[in-house]
Amino acid sequence: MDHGIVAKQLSRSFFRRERSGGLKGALKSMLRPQVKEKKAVMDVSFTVPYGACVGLIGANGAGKTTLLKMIAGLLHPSSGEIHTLGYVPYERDHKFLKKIGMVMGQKSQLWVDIPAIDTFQLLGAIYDLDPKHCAARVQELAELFGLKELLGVQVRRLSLGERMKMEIVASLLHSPSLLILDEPTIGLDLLAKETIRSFINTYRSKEKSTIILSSHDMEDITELCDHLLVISRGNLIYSGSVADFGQDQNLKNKVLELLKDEESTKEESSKK
Amino acid sequence: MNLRAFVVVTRNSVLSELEYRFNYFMWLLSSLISVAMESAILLLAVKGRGELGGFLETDLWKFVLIGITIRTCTGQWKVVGEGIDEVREGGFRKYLLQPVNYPTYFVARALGDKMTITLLLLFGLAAFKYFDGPGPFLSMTAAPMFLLSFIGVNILTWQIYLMMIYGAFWIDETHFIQIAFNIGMAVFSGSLLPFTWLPEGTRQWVAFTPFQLLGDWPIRSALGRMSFEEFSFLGGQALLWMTIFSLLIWLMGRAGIRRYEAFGG
Amino acid sequence: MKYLRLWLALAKNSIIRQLEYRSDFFGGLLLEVVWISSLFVFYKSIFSQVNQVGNWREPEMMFFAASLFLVDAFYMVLLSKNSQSFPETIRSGIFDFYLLRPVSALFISTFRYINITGFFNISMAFFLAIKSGVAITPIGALIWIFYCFVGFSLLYSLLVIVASMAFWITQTSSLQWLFFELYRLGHRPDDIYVKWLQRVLLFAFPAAFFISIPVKLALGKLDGLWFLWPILWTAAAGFIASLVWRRGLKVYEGAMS
Repeated sequence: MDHGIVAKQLSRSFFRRERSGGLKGALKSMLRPQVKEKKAVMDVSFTVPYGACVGLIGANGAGKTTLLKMIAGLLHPSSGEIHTLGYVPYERDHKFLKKIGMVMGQKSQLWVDIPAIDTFQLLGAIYDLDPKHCAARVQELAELFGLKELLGVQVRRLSLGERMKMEIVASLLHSPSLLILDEPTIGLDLLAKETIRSFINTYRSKEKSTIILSSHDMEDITELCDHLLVISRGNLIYSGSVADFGQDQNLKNKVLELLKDEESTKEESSKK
Repeated sequence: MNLRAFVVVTRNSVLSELEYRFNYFMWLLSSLISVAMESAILLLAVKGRGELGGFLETDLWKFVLIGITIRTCTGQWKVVGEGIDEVREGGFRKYLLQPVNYPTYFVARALGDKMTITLLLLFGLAAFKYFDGPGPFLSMTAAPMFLLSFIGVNILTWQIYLMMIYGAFWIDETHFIQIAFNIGMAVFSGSLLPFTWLPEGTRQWVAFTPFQLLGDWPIRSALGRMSFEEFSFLGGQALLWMTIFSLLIWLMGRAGIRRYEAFGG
Repeated sequence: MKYLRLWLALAKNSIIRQLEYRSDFFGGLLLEVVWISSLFVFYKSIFSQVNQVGNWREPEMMFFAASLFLVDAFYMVLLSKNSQSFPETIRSGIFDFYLLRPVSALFISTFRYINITGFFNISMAFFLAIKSGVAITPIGALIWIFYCFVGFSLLYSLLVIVASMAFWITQTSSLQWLFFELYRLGHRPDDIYVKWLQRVLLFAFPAAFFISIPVKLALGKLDGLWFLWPILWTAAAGFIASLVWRRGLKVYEGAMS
């Protein structure tokens, strides 16, 4: 197969408990919880060629993370088909797991109380890397990201940006063929965002792995990606090259409007 | 998961623990307070009688020390709390994204977390023998029996805690079960008071649980108050429970992860 | 009156919150049941071997256990979660909101969460006190309730002092752990301990006044000046607590600007 990721009519629903307010509502839902279905991803089909860098953009709650989790095999699709690197991801074959790396902007895989280098050694053992090779790889990546002096510092003492870089290094140690980045720049200041981006760019030009990256920051995408997927309320509304997207001013405005619209309706509903 | 990964997880857990040196002070203080609270009431009860429920005053002292050692070494707070939080808040996904086996990972973590304190306390117990003539390890037969049952208790508690962590796939708040278990274990396992002192009714229902194995078994082995027959009988029970728990853990892990995938992860 | 209304509103919200998390609620209840039954079994087991431990006979010891539930239940209902979450309130800046409200920030900070499972303990405490079969006069019962309240107020003041340390140092969890360990010493009658520890619990860290002294006063085991001591301790601790709290507020406001 010449495609890294193939998704056919992929859908995913969630069930959520709901209740009315007040003491009465609380008691009622305690006895008989009301369950409501929410469609997070609906009938999404796309392909990602090997070696591409794909951006996934959409407002908060549009279904980006759900889609990424299905690609990584953390979620079963409710219906439809997904193949990642030729595997069915949710079977989580260890051969498959050794080929992917995932970074989640808000979840850490590093041990906070000890220096990052110790977690790297652990990951080396988990992915069964040769210790010498692993140590060299750590040095190489640390050099690339300017992290050399920070390797021996306890993770809890690192800044948010430094920590994120360490997270990315952690998921690159085993040289994954597919790197999944979920909101890697979330919560970072402009400068840190810029370093993360140049970091990913440098890495990409050095090693030809496939990257899929989600963000709600358009700049992340335009600077890093050549392909683009736009998702809104669970639907895929654009799939194509970033260049085409950039030229089609009409489409661009529409998408930006949609994202903005979605954000504002969200804010309103959260105010209620 | 390979042996190398197991060793590194254990090592990293020891390192994490050493980061908080204040904890060692608190453990020491907490143990001393427990010693004070437990020995005070037992020694006062035995005062002027010489013997209480088959225990001499020195026996009661040893009982208190071993009981506290067992509870400190097997009672998990941090690692289990962390595991429950990971299941509830999504951190658990890192075990799904990596080629690891969670139960093995958990055991390595729990082992590393308690490594230093366990070694300290066991050496303390062994040293006690030289200070005080015949110490808690009364005979050469008691020491291996104690070590064997000590390993058994650890395996059993790891399994029980693992089930609590997996339980968090269904119940949001298994922290309470963890705390309740840690509190209940002290009395009902016979590590706060000799097991034979428990009221008849209590002992009857405790017989249906593995509680006796978690305290009475290693403690009386250490005190040399257990015949080899009884030791083996309880050891057989322990093996039985381990088998049941292994099966349950396997089932719960499978169903739990499936549920995790179904409900969002 | 205003504060009673406020407290009821906070209580209502906490109760809703706890009912929302069903397993949270039942888990809390399970914890209390396990704790109560293990303590009960603990004393039952001891008194199956002897008639008397020091000056304590079985009914008296059970009455002591009941008092422990009573004071600890109040601690659980009102304080434990609040004092634990207070350092986080300071660190995250949520404390600013408390300061903006036209009510005492101390009141909101210390009575914010109410743990409903504690109410179960309070009823269990009264049930056990009656079941213990201890010989107590009506006046003794009044003394018991009054001095348990005094003991609880002392506990409250000490907790405020510990929690206020969050104004100066960011990590106070170790301090709270230390406090809790010392508080645990008060879970047994003070006169079972060796002399020097008894003195520590009376004069240095007054854990004896939370439960032990109120019970002994109620049972007529103490008299004279002992009726005065708890009140003096509580007044002194209350005074220091309010001083520390106000100092802390100044430090906090200073750091903000």
